[in-house]
Amino acid sequence: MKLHLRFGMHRDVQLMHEEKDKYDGFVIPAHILAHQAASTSVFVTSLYDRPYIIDPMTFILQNPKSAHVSDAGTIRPSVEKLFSDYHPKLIEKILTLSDDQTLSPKNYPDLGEFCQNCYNFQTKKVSTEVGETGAAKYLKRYKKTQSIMPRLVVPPYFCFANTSTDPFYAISLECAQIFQTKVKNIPVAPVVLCAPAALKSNGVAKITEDYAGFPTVLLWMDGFAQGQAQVADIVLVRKLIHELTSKGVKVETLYGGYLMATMCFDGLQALSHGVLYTQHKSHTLSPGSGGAPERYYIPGIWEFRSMSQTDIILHQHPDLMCNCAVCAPVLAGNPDNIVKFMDNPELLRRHFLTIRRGELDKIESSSAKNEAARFLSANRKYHEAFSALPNPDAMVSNAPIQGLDYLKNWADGITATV
Amino acid sequence: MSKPHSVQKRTNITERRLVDVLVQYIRKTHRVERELSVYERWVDVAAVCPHTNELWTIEAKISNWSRALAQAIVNLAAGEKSFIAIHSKHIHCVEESVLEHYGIGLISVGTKWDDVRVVRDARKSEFINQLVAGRLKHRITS
Repeated sequence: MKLHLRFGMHRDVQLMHEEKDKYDGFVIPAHILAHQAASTSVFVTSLYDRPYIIDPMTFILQNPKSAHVSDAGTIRPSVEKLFSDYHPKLIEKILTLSDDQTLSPKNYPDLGEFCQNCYNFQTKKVSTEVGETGAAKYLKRYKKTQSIMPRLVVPPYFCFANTSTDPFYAISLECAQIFQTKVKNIPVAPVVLCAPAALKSNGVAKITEDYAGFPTVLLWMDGFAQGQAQVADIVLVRKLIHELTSKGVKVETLYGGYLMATMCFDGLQALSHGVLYTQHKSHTLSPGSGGAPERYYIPGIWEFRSMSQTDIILHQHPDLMCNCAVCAPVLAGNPDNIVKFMDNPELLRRHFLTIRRGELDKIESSSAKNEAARFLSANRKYHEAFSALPNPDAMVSNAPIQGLDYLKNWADGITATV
Repeated sequence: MSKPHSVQKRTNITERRLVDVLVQYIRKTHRVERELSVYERWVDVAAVCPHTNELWTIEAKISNWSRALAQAIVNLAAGEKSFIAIHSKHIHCVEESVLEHYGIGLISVGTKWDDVRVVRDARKSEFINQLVAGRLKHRITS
């Protein structure tokens, strides 16, 4: 199964160069490319042997004006630059809104022009920057001075609540169709962005019917946190992947963790996330709201935990100590050494990438039944220890699922008939 | 960088005041630091006994003892003994059997100076991280 790393912070640059064997491609969020155009373009070009896509991030338009405004009261530079590239009047329209207002779809720019600008951004921004910024001197070290094109182009997309009445479903589909009509030289991969609830009733059938003509579809299950996933939602997501795959569509995810990876049994071809972050994401979160805290991926429970929780857990269950090429020399069989990861957080990232690569390499030769058995076994062994800890851990608040009970949901969800 | 202080509206007592009383009392016998960072968290009070070199970590809350307990369980990796400190008016709400299960100690703290009482001692942690504890002790005693 393929792994596409989502680029989020420039501290990941060195890691992504040094650990190229751990991932198959990468995703560049458009607002980062717009804001830090020269450095990001050099980065994209320097990784010439890894295919990339540019996520157009158009869903940001659905957020209220307050989400676009910085503490200083001005539009966030990354949003301003991105929207200015997409349409000269977008920022002007946003500025007329009150803080809690969102831009109504009827005030969106002409979709044909919007799509053209979005396409231009994805296919020309990197090469223009590399050519114009004198970045060539930096690129010499990578023995590459010309940019390559993205492996897919992504039409503008928006989050929808249902497929029947929500205008954002229609707009997203129209943008995808415009791209499909106009773009000939690069495959078009629309994003389907919705919460699993939108797949209920006729949702799966409607999306499958509308998107069956595209070679690739990128799924983004809005706010689908794997540690809180309900069985019914897992089944719905699997069903969508299964149906699209049966129509010959290649399905990839924009965000996802190990639960999503198990959906390779339903046809999912690639997983995407950042290094230590964005295994799930809500479209209402504003980009640029800061980095994730340092945390450790515990392979035995397929989840991250804060460093303090990892410490206590490894002391209670030393068998959860990881034996990967990164961890083995650091931990040396002694859970006390977990603190050394805090001294050198780079190790946290390398450990995670090493483990995730191994997980994705192995999972395709496994089965849903085998994986479910592993989830239940881990739940039996470790649930008591985890359920005593502050629940949830740092990343999610007010979560109803305690300890490792999410693993029971995973087991039921991935073995249910779709 | 300091941690925000929570305020208990009903009793009109701040957590800061609670910790002030607690720290003043423990200082008589221990070397004490407040708001020490451990990993990504803050420990409200950490105290080292100069005679035994034993490290106590204490999570203080006005009344929310279960929240304090959750933090105190994580503190089992940081020191030899982990306590929660609760305002004396709410001490009767604490389910001591739960503390017993995890080996967490309980301290009652009033609003007046010296109004501090160790209600139950903590068990010595089985899950202590010697490297973390060593670093904390060094920060407190040096």
